[in-house]
Amino acid sequence: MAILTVRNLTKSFGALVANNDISFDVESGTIVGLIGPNGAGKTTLFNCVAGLYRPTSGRITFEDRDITNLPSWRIARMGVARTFQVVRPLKEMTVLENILVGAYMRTGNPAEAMASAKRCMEMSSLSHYMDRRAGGLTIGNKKRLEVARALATGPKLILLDEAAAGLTTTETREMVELILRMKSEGVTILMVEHIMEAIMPIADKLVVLNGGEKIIEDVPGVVVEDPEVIRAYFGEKYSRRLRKGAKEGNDDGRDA
Amino acid sequence: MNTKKISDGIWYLLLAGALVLPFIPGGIENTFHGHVLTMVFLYASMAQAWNIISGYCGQTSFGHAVFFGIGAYGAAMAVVQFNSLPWYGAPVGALVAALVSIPISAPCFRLKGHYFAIATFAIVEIFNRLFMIWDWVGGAIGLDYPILEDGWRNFSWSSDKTGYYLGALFLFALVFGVVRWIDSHRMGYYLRAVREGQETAESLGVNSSLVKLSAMALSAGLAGLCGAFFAQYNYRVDPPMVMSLDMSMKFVLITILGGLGTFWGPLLGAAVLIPLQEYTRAYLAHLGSGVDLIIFGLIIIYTMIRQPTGIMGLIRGLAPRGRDASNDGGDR
Amino acid sequence: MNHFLQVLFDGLLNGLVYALVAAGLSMIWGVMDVINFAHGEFLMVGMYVSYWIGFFLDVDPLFSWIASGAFLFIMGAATYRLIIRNSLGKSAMAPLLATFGLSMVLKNFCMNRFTPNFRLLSGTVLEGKTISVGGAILSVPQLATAAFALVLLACLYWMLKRTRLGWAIQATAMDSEAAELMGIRTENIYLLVFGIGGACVGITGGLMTSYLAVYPEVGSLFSLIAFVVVALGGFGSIPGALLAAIIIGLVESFTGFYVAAVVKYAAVFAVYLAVILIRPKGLFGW
Repeated sequence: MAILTVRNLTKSFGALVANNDISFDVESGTIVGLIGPNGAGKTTLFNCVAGLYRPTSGRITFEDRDITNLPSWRIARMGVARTFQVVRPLKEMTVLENILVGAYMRTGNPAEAMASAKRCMEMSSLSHYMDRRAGGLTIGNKKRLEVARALATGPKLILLDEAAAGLTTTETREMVELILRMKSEGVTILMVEHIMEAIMPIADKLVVLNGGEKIIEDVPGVVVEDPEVIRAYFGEKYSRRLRKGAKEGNDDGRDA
Repeated sequence: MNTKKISDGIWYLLLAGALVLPFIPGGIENTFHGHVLTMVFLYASMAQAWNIISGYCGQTSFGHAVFFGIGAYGAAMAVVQFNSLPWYGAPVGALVAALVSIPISAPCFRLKGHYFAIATFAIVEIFNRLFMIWDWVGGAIGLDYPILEDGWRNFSWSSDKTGYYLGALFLFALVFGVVRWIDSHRMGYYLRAVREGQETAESLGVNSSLVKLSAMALSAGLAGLCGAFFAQYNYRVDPPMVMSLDMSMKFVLITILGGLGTFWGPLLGAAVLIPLQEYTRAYLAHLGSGVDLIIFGLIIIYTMIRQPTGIMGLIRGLAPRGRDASNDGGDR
Repeated sequence: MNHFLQVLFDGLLNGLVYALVAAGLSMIWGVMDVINFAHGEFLMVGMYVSYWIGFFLDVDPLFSWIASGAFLFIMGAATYRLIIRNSLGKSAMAPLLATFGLSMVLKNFCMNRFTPNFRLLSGTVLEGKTISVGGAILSVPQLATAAFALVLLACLYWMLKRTRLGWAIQATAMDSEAAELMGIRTENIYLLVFGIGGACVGITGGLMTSYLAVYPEVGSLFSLIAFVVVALGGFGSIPGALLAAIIIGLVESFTGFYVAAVVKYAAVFAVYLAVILIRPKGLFGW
């Protein structure tokens, strides 16, 4: 069953069409990757789904309810959480306080909110930094904080916008583990990701955008074989290598 | 958690001490420092009311003299025009202040940075002029209290001013109590989240417009109560006395000097600036008028240059650098 | 009809003076994103300089504006060096509040030294002279000040748009870091802009003493009007400030005459609020 459906979504900024007639589904309980080269319109699409932008036309439904023109806070309360590509910590608040803001969406009771915030903090291995000023964290911890904060809102669907960009290999691995843990807790995940080793092994489905249009929507194995995708995005070389040995050399893929 | 316990301790100790003070002979009664303490509690309350919207929520308002003034007129109108009690006028004034703040601030919240600040200046001037020509509220002459019997019923005392002191203390306990509660509940987190990043807050389910408007209404209502006390204390009210830019700035400066967006800041700022102003006015009178305000101005300049985070920033800087103060390596 | 013309001219003349007062503020705001809250008090100081020069040395305001302009240039630059530079970047409100502190000091210093009394120069060259235009009577000192303001505004505009210095100022306003990299000494630009901002009000204040009394509170209202003019025109824009100042001047004189003198400033601020809510960044803002 699809938890999120996007139908004929178009978003233009003046003459620039960032998303053109895009449709796809996100099935409940799965991880769906949204990929494509720079400028393909991934973040714009995210912002439309999360209510930060108003689509020019098209329809977005979440759990069969139309959310197309709802303000972002209302969408968040329905159970759609998001992270930002460029991290946005609430700088002068501590890590715990940042997560508490998310946790207070589900309860007004300070003790309950605290319990839930602490759980999310542990899940994303931030407990050690609990009382740090969020603005002073490293980029890796800021990325984790984005996820922890979104998670604290108790979402059914979480939108991760390049959660692994700029992280070291170890940090990326930890982020992947965190994403899988969220999935195992029943959260549906829609993620934009540039780093292929972060998304290829875990995605149930990939949606590929290029130049604002959807090229294909299918399982990773099929997507990497698709000639149009190869041309548009991966380049001949990388895709051949990927076909040869899917898992042997994670680091080789980085420079693609 | 530890700092919270210290803060709790200071809070109850302070309230208890302030409550006992009038029972010590020569503590309050009719002394000059009784007057100064009363003013400290009043201005601390007023600054804290302002702190809710401007410090916690980050929407710097220079218009709070309007709400302060509406509250003052509420009490004065009840006494002077309706021959009634300030106990009815004060809550009505506070309510009107809160209600007026909503349509005023809703459009202004769309303005950014200095544009917001200047809009709030303009609002003070508009209200000031309108009250000047509004005969029903006494126009430019204002409202003068008749001679009233001393006591809690009229909330007025002419000889022993201990009643005013206790009244100011009650106001202080109320306003600071409200902020303490907010600070540790959802509202407090939402206020600060909106200040730190509106879009981020909204992505976490925070209805930022509602948060800002309710913070403004609460802030304005409490400011109105403070204004009502001010009218009672001075036995009169007129537009320049309560609805002036200088009055607005006083709340701003006290809070900033103490520490913007902190619980203790408004009290610390008032505890420094008000005695300074009152005592210099009393003891440097021979140097001519305005000396107190020159000193006030110099302190502001110095604070902004050397210590823009105020006294709270100074205190935090003195405290041993704990885990929370340091960065974990900074950005890469 | 005569009334109408009279009111129209009064508004225009006042508007031109407001424009020059606001131009200095606007430049500072545009280049540094700082509101100089002591701007009105600078005007007041300029008036006192010109007044005392006139009083003791018998120099007419027609000439002493040079001295008050120079004095305020130095005072503006000193304000930048001593106060603004040290409060810049610490918090958004720091420079505004620091200059508010400065305004308190200046205002109360003058109050303390010069008493709150109104002082008007007598025996100036243009004193009491009027000319009649289509039935409206214009005071020559005011006309001269307005004409001067217009010329100075044109010079300022020309300087910003056509000289290397003006380009450097504009570059600094757009992106101070990039300007620094291009070899512009932004520190000096800031100093200069504050100096020019001071000189604008110094000159205006100097000229105004020929028809306006000086007293310690005189700057407060001009401060507020200048803020409103700048915000209405859109910060950093001199044509915006001119247009906004004329609108404000006209609103002031028309409501002052046709409604009531007390409400004219209420009307001015109400018009400002109405416009700013439709165009949040002012008429010429970006």
